[in-house]
Amino acid sequence: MDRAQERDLIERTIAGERQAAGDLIRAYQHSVYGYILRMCGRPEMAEDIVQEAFVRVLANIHRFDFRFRFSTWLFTIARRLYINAAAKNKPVYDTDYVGSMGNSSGQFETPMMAQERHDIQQDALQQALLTLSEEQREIIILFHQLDWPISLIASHLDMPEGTIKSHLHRGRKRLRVLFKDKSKLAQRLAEVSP
Amino acid sequence: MSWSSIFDDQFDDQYDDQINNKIDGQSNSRNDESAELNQPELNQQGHQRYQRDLRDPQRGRVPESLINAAIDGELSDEMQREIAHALNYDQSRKQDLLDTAEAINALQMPISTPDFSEGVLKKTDRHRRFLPATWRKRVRASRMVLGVAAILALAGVATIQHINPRLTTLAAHPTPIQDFEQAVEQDADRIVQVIADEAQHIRASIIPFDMLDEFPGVTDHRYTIEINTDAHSNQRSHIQHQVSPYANYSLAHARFPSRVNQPAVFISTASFTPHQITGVRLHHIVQSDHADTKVIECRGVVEIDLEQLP
Repeated sequence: MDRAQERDLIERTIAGERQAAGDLIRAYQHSVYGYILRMCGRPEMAEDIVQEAFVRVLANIHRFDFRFRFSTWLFTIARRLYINAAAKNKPVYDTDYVGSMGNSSGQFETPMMAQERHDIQQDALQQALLTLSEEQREIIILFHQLDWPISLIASHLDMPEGTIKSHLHRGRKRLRVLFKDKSKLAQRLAEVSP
Repeated sequence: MSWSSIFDDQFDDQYDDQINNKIDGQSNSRNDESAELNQPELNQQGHQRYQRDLRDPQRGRVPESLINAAIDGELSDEMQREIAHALNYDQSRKQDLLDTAEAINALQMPISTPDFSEGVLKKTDRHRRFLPATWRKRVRASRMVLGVAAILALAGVATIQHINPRLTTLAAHPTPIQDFEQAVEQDADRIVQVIADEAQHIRASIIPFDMLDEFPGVTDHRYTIEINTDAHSNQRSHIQHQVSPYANYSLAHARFPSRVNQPAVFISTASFTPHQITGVRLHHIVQSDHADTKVIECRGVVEIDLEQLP
């Protein structure tokens, strides 16, 4: 969505158009949900956070400053909510959710074996992510999953760009090692399980 | 160009062709000298320069910082080509990069997302209903009117209260202190009147004093006085009788409390000559608790002229 479309939707939402508010939610729900889900590893927690973030954003939409990006505002609110929630509940990856990630949309018509491999990968990835520090995990998700530029991440997290890069590089290195180990382990477990 | 194209074999072949063409003296648009140097087999000079440019001189490996820069998208396409080529000679680093790519690809796989729109809008409706802009203006104007009306109403009530507090008092009316004082005075007057009315009954009960004439001097004679009345039978009260002679002779007067409708015993202990006594003054002091806290004391004096007694 370009900025003109975004602005149009926001203005219509401020004017009280319910349909525009729905479109605005649908435009950003995927990215913000993916971000929070990867951060916390629990779908029900992520759903609560994302819903609350949208409610807060819409409740204050008339205060939105058009000089900034809507996504930045939404992600900032979602992030704060996640931090508060994480303070109460330490992120734990829900392994039961593995099979439901990334395939229910029906975009990928894969054979059973490919599906299993995909599930194992997702499981390994989430476990590896949760082993990283909060900063490393968040920066990797923002950079690689959401394609945010370094400068935007620095602004979002209120850190210098050099620090962001440092976290990114170290986190990526750790993720590579962890992901590889966990993938192998998960693969072996899958092979030995009946 | 995406950093992941580093793993594209076709890309690497194209790059090799470019290098070979340049080495063969054919026309080549690439103007980057380092490209040539990335083919260490081609010539010794190029090999040395390649090592200087892309490999860590200590370890002979492609620096990790360079790989990171490529993944971060900070390098030009040319530079990425060079790295891709150099990685062919650093299999360990290439494997690391492949592993990284696998993790990143897994991260970019689609995630099934529930639709939040209905739930969010339902929740938002509770907080702030979605109304058309024109309606929103009317709602805002109505709220302002209501607010102003409320302020005016409060100001009006404050003014009326200032002028006439009784009109705006919702609770039981407070009793001003002057009313209380007035009530006490009225009560006292009423009690005095009651006592005065009772005087006739008292006078009738005082007959035993007549015996004083019969027993002059210190007699230790008992006289029983009973004041019969209905006036204060239900009140917490007591009556004090003070008996004193009219004459100037010393007469230890008796003073004792008694209750109405109960006999009070009076004992004469004074030494006096009966004929000097011309009368007895009874002071009836009635004390009554009033309004729980206030004690009203009123005095009724009944003068009994003994000579006038029947």
